[in-house]
Amino acid sequence: MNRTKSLAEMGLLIAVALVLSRIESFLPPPVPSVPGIKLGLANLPTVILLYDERRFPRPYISAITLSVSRVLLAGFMFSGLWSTIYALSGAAVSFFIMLLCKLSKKLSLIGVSIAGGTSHNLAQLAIAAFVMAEPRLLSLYPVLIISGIAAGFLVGITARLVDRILCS
Amino acid sequence: MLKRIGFTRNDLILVAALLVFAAFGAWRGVNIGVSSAVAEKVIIRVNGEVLTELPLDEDRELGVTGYDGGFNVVTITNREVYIREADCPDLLCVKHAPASERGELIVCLPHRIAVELE
Ligand SMILES: [Zn+2]
Repeated sequence: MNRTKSLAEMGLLIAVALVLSRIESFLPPPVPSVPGIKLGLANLPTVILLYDERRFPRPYISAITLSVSRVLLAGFMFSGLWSTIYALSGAAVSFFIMLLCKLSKKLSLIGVSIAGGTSHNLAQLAIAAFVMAEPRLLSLYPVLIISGIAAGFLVGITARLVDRILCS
Repeated sequence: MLKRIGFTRNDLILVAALLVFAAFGAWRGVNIGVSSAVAEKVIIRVNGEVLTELPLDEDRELGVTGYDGGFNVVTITNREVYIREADCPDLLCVKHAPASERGELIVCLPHRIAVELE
C-alpha cells in the first residue's frame, strides 16, 4: 500500500468536497422555512472513499476523517456556526447509516448513497426542530425525504462512475 | 436502464418505502391544514415560547429580541408578514419570501425566532 498515494487521494477528495460544499451554499435550500439545511451533495467524496478498499486499507476510518475535515473546513470558510452544527449532525448520521447499510450487504452503492442522503437531511431537520424547540418543523419531513432521495441518487451514480474509472 | 447503473431490487424497495413514508407525511400535513387556508394571526415565538400574537390584517412593525440578544424586525403589511431586517449572520430569515397562508413559518435559526401564521 502506497501511503503517499492514498494521502494524495485524500487531499484531492477533501478539495472536491469543499468545492461541492461551496456550490451547495449557492443552491436554494430544500425547505425555505428551515434555513441552513443543505442537500448533501458534498457527501460524494465520502461515498467514493467508503467503496475504495483497494487504495485505503481502512476505508471507514478514512471516510470519517474526510467527512469531519470537510464539514469543519467548509464551516470555517463558507458558513457560520449553525450551518456547521447542521452539517456535522447530517454528516455523522448519514455516515453511520451508510456504514450499516454497506456492512449489511443488502444494498448497492446507489442504495447506500440514497440511505445516506435521506438520513443526512432528516438528521438536519431533527436538529433544527430541537434547537428551535419547534416540533412543528418535523412535519416538513416529506420534502426532505424526496430531496434526500434525489441527492443520494445523484451522488450514488457519480460515485459509481468514479469508482469504475479508478478501478480500470 | 436502472439495472445497468447497478440499481438493485433492494434499492428499489428502500426508495419505495421512503416514498410511502413521505406520502403519508404529506397526506397528514394536508389533513391538519398546513396547506393554503386564510391566516388570521401572526404568532411570534422566541426559543419555543410565545412572545406575542398579532392580527394579520393590521399593518405594523415589531422589533423582536432573539435568544442571544440578536435583533429582528418583523413587518406585517397587506396581510403578509416578513422579516425586514435582522443582525443574524446568515440573513436567511430576511431572504425568506413574505408569508400569507395559514401554517407558513419563517424562522431565524441563529436567534431562535419563529414567525408562524395561524
Ligand atoms: Zn436570521
